Order: sequence, then structure tokens, then C-alpha cells
Amino acid sequence: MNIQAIVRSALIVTLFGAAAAQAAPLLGGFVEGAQAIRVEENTALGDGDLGDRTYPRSEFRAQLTARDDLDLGSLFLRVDLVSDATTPDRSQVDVREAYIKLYPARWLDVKFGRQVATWGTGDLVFANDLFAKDWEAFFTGLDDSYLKPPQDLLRLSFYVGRVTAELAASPHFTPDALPDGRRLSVYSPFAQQAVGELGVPPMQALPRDGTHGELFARVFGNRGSFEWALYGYKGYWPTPQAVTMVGGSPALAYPRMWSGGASLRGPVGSWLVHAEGAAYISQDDPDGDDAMVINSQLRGFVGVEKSLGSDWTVGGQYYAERMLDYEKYESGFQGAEPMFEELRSTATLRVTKFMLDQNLMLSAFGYWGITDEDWHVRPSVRYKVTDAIAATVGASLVGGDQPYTMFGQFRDNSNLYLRLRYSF
Amino acid sequence: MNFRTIAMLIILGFVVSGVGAEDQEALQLMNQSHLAYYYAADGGHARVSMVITDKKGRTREREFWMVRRDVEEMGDQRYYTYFLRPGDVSRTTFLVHKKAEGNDDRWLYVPALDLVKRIAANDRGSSFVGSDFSYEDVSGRLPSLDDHVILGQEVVFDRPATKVKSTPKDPKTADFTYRISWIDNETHLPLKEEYYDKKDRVDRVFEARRIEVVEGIPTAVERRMSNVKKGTMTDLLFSDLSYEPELEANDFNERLLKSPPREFTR
Repeated sequence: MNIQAIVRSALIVTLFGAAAAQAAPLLGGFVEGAQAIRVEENTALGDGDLGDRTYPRSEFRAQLTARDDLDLGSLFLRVDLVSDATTPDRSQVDVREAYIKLYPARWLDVKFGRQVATWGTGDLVFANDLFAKDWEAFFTGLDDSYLKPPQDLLRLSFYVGRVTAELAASPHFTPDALPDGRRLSVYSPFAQQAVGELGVPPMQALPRDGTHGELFARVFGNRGSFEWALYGYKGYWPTPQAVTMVGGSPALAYPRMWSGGASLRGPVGSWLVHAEGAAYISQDDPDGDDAMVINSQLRGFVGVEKSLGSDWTVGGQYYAERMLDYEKYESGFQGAEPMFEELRSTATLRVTKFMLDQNLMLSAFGYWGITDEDWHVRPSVRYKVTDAIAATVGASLVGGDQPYTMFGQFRDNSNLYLRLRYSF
Repeated sequence: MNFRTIAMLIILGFVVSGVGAEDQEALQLMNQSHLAYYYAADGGHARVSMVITDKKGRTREREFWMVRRDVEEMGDQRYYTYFLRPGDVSRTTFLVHKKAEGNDDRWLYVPALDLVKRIAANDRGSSFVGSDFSYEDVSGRLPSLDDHVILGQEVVFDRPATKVKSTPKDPKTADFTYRISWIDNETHLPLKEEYYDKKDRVDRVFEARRIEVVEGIPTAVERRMSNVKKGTMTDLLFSDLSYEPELEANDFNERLLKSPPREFTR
């Protein structure tokens, strides 16, 4: 972490804070230092003038939150100022939320602008939550809340009796944020191995001209203690799932998709149970004929959670993904072993324990890729030194047999991290 | 059956029915107390300052709005909490559908993720936000779960009170072996409670340190729970109280989690 960057950030924070305090009541925020360090060398990343590859993250972050209540609704602003020695050119102002929330009628809420959105029932597994995710933040020791990058959305919530219907629309598609070979190496299907910044396969970006939008929908309600929901989506696969030709050379692309699904959540005995399923229809390859575009899929999971007393909580989930028209996918390999199996399943386990009047939180979350033979474990210890100061130590540990599976692709990127946050 | 046996039975009958009447009186008093403390009016809201003091005298502070709405007297209730402080939980909201029978339904809203998280709620004895108050202390334990005996009259905090011993009918439902309560004769509010463990040692002590009349309703506006064994205590101070609920029971849903009443966010 370089001093110049810190001073620059501090200056921007002060200026921005002063301006924000003038314009709107400042609600608070935090300053945080985060340092992640690799547990082993990753040769794919290269070295030399590409920066220090020992630290996937070495950053200073300040966040400010402001709100102004107007007659019609509320204005909300949450901005991060980030200075990171790992990717110095990305030291930036990251507007995480900048929206207006309006309450035009008893049956309607409107939330318009940049915002973070989440729905569905999974614990770090997803079927119907097709809002963008930031996998780079996820694997490099940032707080779990950074798994969701902001999106520009018009979100309408309709309240009809005991049922709520929601529509969210964006004029442009926001893909998942994937590692770009600087913090973490990534798998290149073209090189068929893990690569660093220079080897990252070209990706075909969709133009942000209003012609490549996204539409999200949900209808939900309660029956007793149970919550049910139906979901829909029209847009694009959140990660690149096709190969296309750009200027004579191959590039990864985001094919079109739509999806529909449902979820259920509620108590069964002393367990909290959730189940969710979705069909992903690959619109650019609906019958699975095109070997360059991903086939349609079914995705689903079931999970349970229970508090064991004495501030212990455990939870487990079983997630499965089934490829449709698998025989066509299989025939594309011309007798060779296909990369993925028809049904791929993953199990997760979470254990949480609070101690010292809930000021110390021990947590471990693990994924076990049953079919892909890969795994990811996220242990962490968080201690609240005072009401304002929290220290977090944790790890993002990854491994796998193959370099191209969900977690296997990050197998040489295990890291430990430390975060120190002062909230105000 | 001889005369002596009949006489014995008659005497025994008197004793049993006499105890029964006393039990009935104790239960009635505890029900009144429960209603006065947990079910006043049909609901209401308050701004609550919480100070948690550990055994070394270090303090942690929480500040939140709390809203209650009764679905039914002595029955289901809705609770909603909007956290103001500390900074790391500011804007977090918490919703409880309290069930008179069975486990509560609980949800937590994390604004940074726009995440509505369902919380496993089969443990009423667990601590509420790291304080010495448990979830059960906050939302109440039904008097019908315990057997009650009136022990006599005593003066607590300069107020005449009735001393009651309560023993859980099923020990598995409580994290105390028995409880001694001093119920204010005038307001029926609990002035003091001592929770005892298996070895007759005081585990925790509750005190209603100040009672004020708000909108005609006597209310404990300063409350303390001391954990004698741990040497910690938690003080609650209630302000901006109102017993005119603006929210209906049906309003305690996901919309409320995400859109707190404007009065609270100012």
C-alpha cells in the first residue's frame, strides 16, 4: 500500500465528505485497510512490471453514506473511494448506490438509479438471483457484501393484497465481475491453462447503448411461516458462455438467455429449510445444436439451517445443475472425454459461532464440488475491538483436480487476508 | 373406609383446593403483569438506547427504534427494529413474527447487499444483539408455561410489591430453574426479577429502575439486566415513546424491512 495513494484517498474523502455533508445529511461510513497475501506462488501471473503479484489485494477504502428525505421520497448515496497497490490504475471512486426511492401510491414503490439487488433463498449459491456478482471481490478477501456490484436499475414494487410483484429493468447488461488476471489467474479455454493479465482471453463486451438491456421479475408472498416466490429473467448469461469471432480471432461472448423459477422457504420442526429451482434457456442455442454456445440448463438447490443454542448456527445445502441436450454436447467432443458431466452437484456447509457477547464471530463456509472434484473454503474470524473498530482475519482457500471447473480455475490463488475497519 | 380416613380426605380436600385458589391468584397476577409489560395498548414504538457494560467496565452502545403490534392479547405479536448505531449496523432492520406457540419467524435485512435473510429462530434463550437480554426477555415468556406461587408482600424501589416464585413446568423450555418476581401492586409491572440456576444461585437480575406514565400507560422506561455470574449488565433507556401504533399487523413484512418509517430515519 503506497503512501501517496493513501494521502490522495484521504484528501478525496475529506473533500467529498465536506461536499456531501453540505448537500445531504451524512449517515456515516467507514475507512478500511485490507491486505491479502497468497499462500503459494502463482507462476501463471507473471512478474516484473506487472506489479507485485504476492498480494491479490492491498487496498485502502473509504465509504460514505448520505441520505436526504424529500417530500416525494428519499435520495440515497453510498460511495467508496478505493486506492489499491495491486491495481494502481483502478484507484477509483466507486459509486455503489445512487438512487431515489419514491412512494407514489400505497400499492407502489419505485427505486430508480444505481443500486445493489438481491433475491432468492440460497446461501452463496444462486439459481434465480441473476443480478450481477463480483467474483473477484469474493475470492480476494473483501467483505461478503462486495459480492454484489451495483447495477443501474428501475425497480418497481407493486403491492396487491398479500402478494408483491417486482419488476427491475436495466438499459444495459451488467455481467459478473470476473478476475482479469491481475489479482487472480484465470483459466483460458483458448490456451487451455491458467493465465495472467497478458493471457486473458478477449471478451466481447455488449454495447451500453440501450439495445442490450436486462429485465428481472419476481412475485412473492407468505403462507403462514412459509415464503414462496416465482421469478423470471430476460437478458444474458452472467458469465461468458460462448465463443465468437471478433476481427478474425476467437473471443468469449455473453449469449442471450431467459429463465423462470420458483423458491420456498420456511421452518420444518426446528430447522429452517429452503428450496429453489430455475430453468435457464439459452436463446442463442435453444436445442443445443451449436457447440460454440452453452446449452440450456436446470439449476436448483435445497438447504437447511439450524441454531444449536449457545450462539452456534449450522447450515448445509445441496446444489445441482443439469445440462439439457447433453448428448449433443457430448458428441461435440467426438468420442473424447467431455469437460463437464450432465449433472453437476455441489454441497455447501456453513458453521457460525458467536463468542464474547457476540463481539467475536467465527465462521466457516465451504463448497465441495462433488462432480467437478473441486472445493473452496472460507474461514474467517471477526473481532469487534470497540463499537467502531472491527478486525477480520480470514482465508479464501481453493483447490481442484481440473483447471477449468468453477473452483478449480482458481486453484493456485488461495490467499489469507486481514481487514481493519473503522466505522462512523 | 373408617371415620379417620374420611376426615383426612376432607382436610386434604380443603388443603388442595386452598392451594389451587392461591395458584390461580398467582397465575392471574402474572398474566396481568405479562399484559402490562408486553402487551400494553395494541402496540407502540420507542427509541431505545442500550448500554452493555462488561466485567471490566468497558461499554458498548446500541441505539434502535423498536415497534410492536399485537395480533392478539397474550397471543402473537409483531416486532420491528431499525438500528441507528453502531455505524456498522446502521440501517439494518430486523423483523420478528412472535408466536405464542412454536418458534418465532425472524428476518434480518442487510442493506449493503439488499439481502433479506431468514434467521433460524429455535433458540429463544440466545442473546439479543450481544446484550444480557435474551430474545425471550425482549418478547416475553408466557406465564402459562410456569407454575406460580405468591410468597408475600415486599417493598421494592419504594413501591409495594407482591413477591412471586415461578417454576417452569417443563425445565427444557427455560434457561432458569426458577424465577422470583416482585410485581408492582399498582401498575402490575415487574419491578425486579431474579433468575436462579439449579444450585439456587442467582444467575441474572432484572430491574425496572424507572416507571413513567406515557399516554396514560405506566411504562418501565429504564430497565437493567445484570448477569451476576458473568459480571456484565445491560441498561435500556426508552424515549420518544408512543402507544398509538401507525402500523397494522399486516405491515410487518418485507416492505417494512426495506422501507423504514420516515420518522425513524430522520
